[in-house]
Amino acid sequence: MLTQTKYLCAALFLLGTSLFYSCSKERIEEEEKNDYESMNDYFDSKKEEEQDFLIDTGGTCPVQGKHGTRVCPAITSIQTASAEDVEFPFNMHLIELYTPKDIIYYQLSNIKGSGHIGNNGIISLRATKDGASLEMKTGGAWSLEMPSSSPKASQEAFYSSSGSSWSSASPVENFTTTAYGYDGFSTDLSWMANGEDHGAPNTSAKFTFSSDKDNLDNVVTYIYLPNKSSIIRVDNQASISLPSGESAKIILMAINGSGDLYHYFEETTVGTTDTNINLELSQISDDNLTKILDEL
Amino acid sequence: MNLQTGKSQGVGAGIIYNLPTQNIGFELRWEYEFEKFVFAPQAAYYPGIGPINEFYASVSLHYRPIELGIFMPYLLANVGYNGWINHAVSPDPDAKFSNWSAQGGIGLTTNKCTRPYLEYRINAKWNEATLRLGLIYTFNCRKWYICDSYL
Repeated sequence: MLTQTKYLCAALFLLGTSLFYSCSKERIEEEEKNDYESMNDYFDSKKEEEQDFLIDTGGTCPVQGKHGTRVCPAITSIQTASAEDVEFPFNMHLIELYTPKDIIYYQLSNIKGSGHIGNNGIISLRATKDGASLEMKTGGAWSLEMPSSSPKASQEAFYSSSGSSWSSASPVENFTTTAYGYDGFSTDLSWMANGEDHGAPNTSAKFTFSSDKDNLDNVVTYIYLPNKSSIIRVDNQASISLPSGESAKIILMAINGSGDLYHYFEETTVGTTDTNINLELSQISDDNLTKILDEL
Repeated sequence: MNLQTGKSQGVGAGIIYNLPTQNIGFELRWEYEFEKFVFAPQAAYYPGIGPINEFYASVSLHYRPIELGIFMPYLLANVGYNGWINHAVSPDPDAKFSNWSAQGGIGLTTNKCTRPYLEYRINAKWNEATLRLGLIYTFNCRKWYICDSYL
């Protein structure tokens, strides 16, 4: 009787466990993927604040931002939207982005045409008077310095209204190297990058991204090319063409409806043919995600 | 006094319900009993009553360790071939027509000559559970009583 009871127990155990495990609908239904929310609020909570300076007659030039950017906001170089001269006082607004992390928090990118630029820092310059935006006059410029302990020669200024798609100035505006870093000027009140035009690569490949587990629609994806100092935002799960053989750090970030952070990080090399990365995001703490971005 | 079945052969037919996919199928089987084991070649067809249209050609081995009155519970293992006719409907890009099949499960039948059976199986390939209900007809059915004194 004891043996019969054992058999019955074994059968009931088998039945119970199999009921739990054998209900797959994978053959007929697509597996439900993890959905994520927009990262905008998270990035906005982390990003560098815009610094506001009141420019008046008693001030001295240059004005220095907290990360060392020095600007001489010449009143003679700016005008109102109706092309009238500006009178003191007015406000200058400055954003300084000197690390890949800070650039990512603003969700900017270093794409220029079909290529990309390397950057030694990105700043945003704006001017307002009584809340109304001011403009740079044609031919006007604000001189500026950007800090660097090891400035590189032949760096130029690039401009962008969005901070993502960049254009060279015409004519090209070069920076000179100094003991402080870079010495140059800004001829526009917009996003300005100090960097190098890497152009479109001769031999290139793209990264594409997919996931069987995660819905990548709201996932923010960046590729950092450390040897080029280029930070490339990936839109629609496909990168721009990147130079073959270049080292690349790939980071994907997401946040779910509960505020939990998820990520995928990989250090790799750009191939000679397009590469699809099929990935699964894993949960990460805010501190650890920040650390990864700090170490890009 | 023990009631036992002798070596015998039978044929049966049954209806199958796939629990997760809610698919209905039909099966035919031949059973050959020897001691506590049953060898059962079988064929199953899911005509598309539900999302999947497929067939199986397989063989089962049943092990009947005990009898509970007229009831005989058993463990079963089944291996065979699966032809998934409408595999194109699957979201899985690797879905294909020819597949292996391996199933395990438990069943319950009786020691009567015409006996119903109820099986619960797990398909290891698809991770799907099925319930099977059918009837077996035993050819030349003979039962005999063995007195305890002869055992």
